[in-house]
Amino acid sequence: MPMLSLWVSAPQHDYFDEELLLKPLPSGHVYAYFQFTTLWDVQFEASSFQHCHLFPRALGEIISRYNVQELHISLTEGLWRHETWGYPVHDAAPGAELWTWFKEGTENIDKTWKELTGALSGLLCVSLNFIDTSNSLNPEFTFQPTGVVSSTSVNSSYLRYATLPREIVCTENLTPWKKLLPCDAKKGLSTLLNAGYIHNTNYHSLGLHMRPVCRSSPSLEELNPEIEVGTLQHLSSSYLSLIECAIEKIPNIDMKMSWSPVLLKVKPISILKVIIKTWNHGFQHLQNTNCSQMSMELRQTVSLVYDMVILGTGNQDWSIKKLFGIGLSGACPLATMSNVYIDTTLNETGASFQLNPIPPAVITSIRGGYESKFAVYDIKALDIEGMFNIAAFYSSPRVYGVNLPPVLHANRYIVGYGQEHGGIVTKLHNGHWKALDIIYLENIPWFIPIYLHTLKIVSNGMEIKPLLKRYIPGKARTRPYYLEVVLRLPPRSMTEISIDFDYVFLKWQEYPPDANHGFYIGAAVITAMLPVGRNYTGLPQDGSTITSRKMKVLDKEQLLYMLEELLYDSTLLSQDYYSEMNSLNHTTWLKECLIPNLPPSSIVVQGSALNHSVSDIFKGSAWLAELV
Amino acid sequence: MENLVYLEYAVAGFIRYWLLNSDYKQIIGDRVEISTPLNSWKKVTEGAYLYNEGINPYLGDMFHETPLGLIIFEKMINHIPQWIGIIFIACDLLTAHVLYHTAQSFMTELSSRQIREKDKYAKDADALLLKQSDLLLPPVYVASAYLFNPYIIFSCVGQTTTVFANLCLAFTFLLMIKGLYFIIIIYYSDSTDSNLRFYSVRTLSKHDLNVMHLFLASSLGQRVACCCMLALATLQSLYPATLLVPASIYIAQSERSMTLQGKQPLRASSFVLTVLTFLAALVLLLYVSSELAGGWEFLHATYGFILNVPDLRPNIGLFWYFFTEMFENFRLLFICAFQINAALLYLVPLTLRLHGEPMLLAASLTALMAIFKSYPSLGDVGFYLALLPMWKHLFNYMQQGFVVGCFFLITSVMGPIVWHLWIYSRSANANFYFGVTLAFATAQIFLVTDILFAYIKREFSLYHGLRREINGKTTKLVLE
Repeated sequence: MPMLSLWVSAPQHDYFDEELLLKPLPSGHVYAYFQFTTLWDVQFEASSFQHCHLFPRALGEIISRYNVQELHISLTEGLWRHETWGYPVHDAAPGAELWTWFKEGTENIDKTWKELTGALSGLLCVSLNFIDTSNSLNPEFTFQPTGVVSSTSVNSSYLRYATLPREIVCTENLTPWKKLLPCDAKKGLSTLLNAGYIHNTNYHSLGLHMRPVCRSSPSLEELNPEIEVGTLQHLSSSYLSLIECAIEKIPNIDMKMSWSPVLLKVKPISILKVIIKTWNHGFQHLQNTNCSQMSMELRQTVSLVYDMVILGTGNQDWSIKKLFGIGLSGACPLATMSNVYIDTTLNETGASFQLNPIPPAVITSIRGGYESKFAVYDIKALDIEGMFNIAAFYSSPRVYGVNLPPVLHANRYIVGYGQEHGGIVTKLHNGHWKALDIIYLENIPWFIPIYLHTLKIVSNGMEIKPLLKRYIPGKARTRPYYLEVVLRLPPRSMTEISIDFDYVFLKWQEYPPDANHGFYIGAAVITAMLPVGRNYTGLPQDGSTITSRKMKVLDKEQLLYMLEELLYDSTLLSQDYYSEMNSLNHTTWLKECLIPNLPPSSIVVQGSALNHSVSDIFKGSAWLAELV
Repeated sequence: MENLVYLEYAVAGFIRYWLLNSDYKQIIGDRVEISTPLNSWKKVTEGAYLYNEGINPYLGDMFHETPLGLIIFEKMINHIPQWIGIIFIACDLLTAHVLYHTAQSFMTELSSRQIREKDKYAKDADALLLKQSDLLLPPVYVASAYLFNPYIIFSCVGQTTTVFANLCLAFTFLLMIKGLYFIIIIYYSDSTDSNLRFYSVRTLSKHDLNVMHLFLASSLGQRVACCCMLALATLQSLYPATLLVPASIYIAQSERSMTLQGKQPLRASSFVLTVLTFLAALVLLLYVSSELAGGWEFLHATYGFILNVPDLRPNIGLFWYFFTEMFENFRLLFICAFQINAALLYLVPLTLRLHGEPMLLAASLTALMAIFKSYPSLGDVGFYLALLPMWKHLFNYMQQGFVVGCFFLITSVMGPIVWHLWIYSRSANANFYFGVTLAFATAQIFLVTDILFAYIKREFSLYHGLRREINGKTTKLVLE
């Protein structure tokens, strides 16, 4: 008996942190970012997930069963406006997005992937079960593992990436998402997540990010200096700084000399191959070295962008109560840390605001050469009775200033007239004074067949050659078109990537319901190392919580950034007026979907148009009675 | 006459050249009636580009040419891009010339058969006999019909690979008949018949019996050459395989003439040998293709694509609409039904009826192929239309010329209009365009049945006389 009680109360080494970051954006919007982090010091094995404490067991079972190494899900509604809002903490494509690294040695990844998406769709009530090989990619460069990788031989064959751009995110996804939290929505910051207020925003994105991290996050000083010296020699300047800090610790002056940028311009293509490899390995090294033990990290995030004009009461003042409809009643008792941060950087340049209550602490963070100031409220430390509210009062009416767009931003649109031939144009803006290397990933569904020979990359009137190009042509109903290019964007330039496609003529049953809504094409993903931290809110690669962002005061830290730019939709022409909702579909739906789910002796009144008379409806129900 | 033909070549070449260098080239090349997924130059460009990039073009959905074509087109695009237009024009003119010679040979065959069979004809059928003047013009008409048919011109200007497919087909037709043609010349050159004498002397004086002709005259040479051409055409578009039947009949006929056993039935061994030669040639070509492509994936991208019809982009054929609206579980059944209809259904009955006139058999098979195949284009239609003047002597017996002509005219005008309404102004739908293509196919079917029925009527009249009386009453021949 004592043994048993000991076993039951055996301390689980897991921690739960909840954080909320509020950031007034220069455009007048307010960006609210929730992050719930569960860190669990456990060996990453299947048996570990049989006893969960703070970690959601439902998710743990899925992870162990399908051999998941790393999992990233985001469910997003709306479009993040990079140009005016800067960069979010987590970039997410509209709709549902899922990318997963499977553990090394997983067999039949396509099948496992299909099963995993099926399980996740049940967990989160998302149509992830529509993901299969016909809309999944395994990009070679984009979506590198963000956590610890056990072996350096991992390649993109263990990666799967898919988006469902048409997916609509609603309360039915929020509720199961909240159930994964240790305190559910009963206590703590998660009580602020009320569906009515969340889905009222301009942009909202739910996220679920799982990755293995090093148990004690290594600082750069601890880095093993035996980084592959040979490969480092080939690094280009824009990627170098990642390991630059580490290199300074290496007592080898000759080597430092050898990667001067001049040397690197000799053979860009071969260099870039190495760069990308080394870049990835660099990350892995950063975390692999001295990493004998791993922890599981689960981050559940919510990003919201409130438009104060729509929400507004005539002024731009905002408060927790105004944004979320409810005050804060205290921290989650299970949480180790429960903080609210408010970005006050804008106070110095834009319209200034006063916080009430006065923040207990203000911290400064310097990332990528840009200094940000945050007011910190430690909810656990505050002795809250009743409801706690934080409010920002603006001293002057709203002044719309000139917003400095972030260094790299993009937009995308479709060109062409009619439903026969079209084109996709993506414009990448590099506002930096130096050239910027980016990875551009196109994920084109099979029903938009693209012509690779029409791919044109033009920057300031000059055609530029991609440093690297990967292309796998799609195949109808089995495989999407995969195009990944590595580009060097010239300084202060606008680069236009354009490609032509044909509209495909689908079979009648391949049109989604409400076909006139159009077809959605997944976002393109742009990955870059940002040279400056202007408008950047992301977390450092090796940190788990927002706090870790503040700790790091590195002058030359690199900011990994994944820009997921603008999906667009285009209407594929339906063949026929009748194919979308015909009597056959309707009858099937009635028989197989509606009627079995109705309680006995229900009456269905249906009408297809507003101006139907009552008698029509009765006729309809009489017909239905016959059918039943 | 020859000068007239050369003048025609010049004019036709100029028209094509002018259009190829005009802004209309792009518009014409983008038309669904002209460019199908199988023959569009844009897809060829994409395939060549992928091949150059080291990506297997057969992995994707965009390229359906054979590896042989891939290599040739890739060389054309990358090494002689400025000559591509000229190559297309030259091939089109060459096709016309080959058809011209085919028609000439066919005229000789017609007159020789008339001499042979004259005794069996009815007494009052003299009015039906072909005169020398009847045989002079049809070759010119054939060449003109190919050179100035807008369908063919557009097909060439749109740079569709149908141009090359047509060239292969034309050579197949020529090689089919050429062997027999020379044999006729050799054995009937001392004939007293003026018609035949006219032809043989003329041809002999012009070409002389050089080595090439002797080679062609030998049945072996004819068989190998004809089967290779046919295999090439089959490799490119699969359906021409059915032309093996008329080709083997021709080869067997020429063998019989060689051995001077004119009255004996055709030998079965000859047919077997022809089929084997064809299969050997095809297998060889496929093997070479697989070596060039580095694998057999191309079969799925070419023949698999032709047979399964995965791309439902509208064309002038009958597949796209039907398979768009098809319930998925019936798809296989109807694919089989449609493909059998396109390739095999008419083969046996037409062969049984027309084995005496293999050229008409070949032409009607080509026509049915162009109507019923999975991705037909106007280039295919234009090709068989150009063959029709060879049977100019049958035109008098045709009844539906006017109706068919109107149909062709109206559908050719209406097609682009309803396409625009559907795809661009979105005020119509697929049914409109389908209606037009259905009418076009119907017109073509009318045309084919009409010419076949005309042939049967003439034959009947030749053997049974012009007066048709049953129990003293004048009767009429009716197609039932």
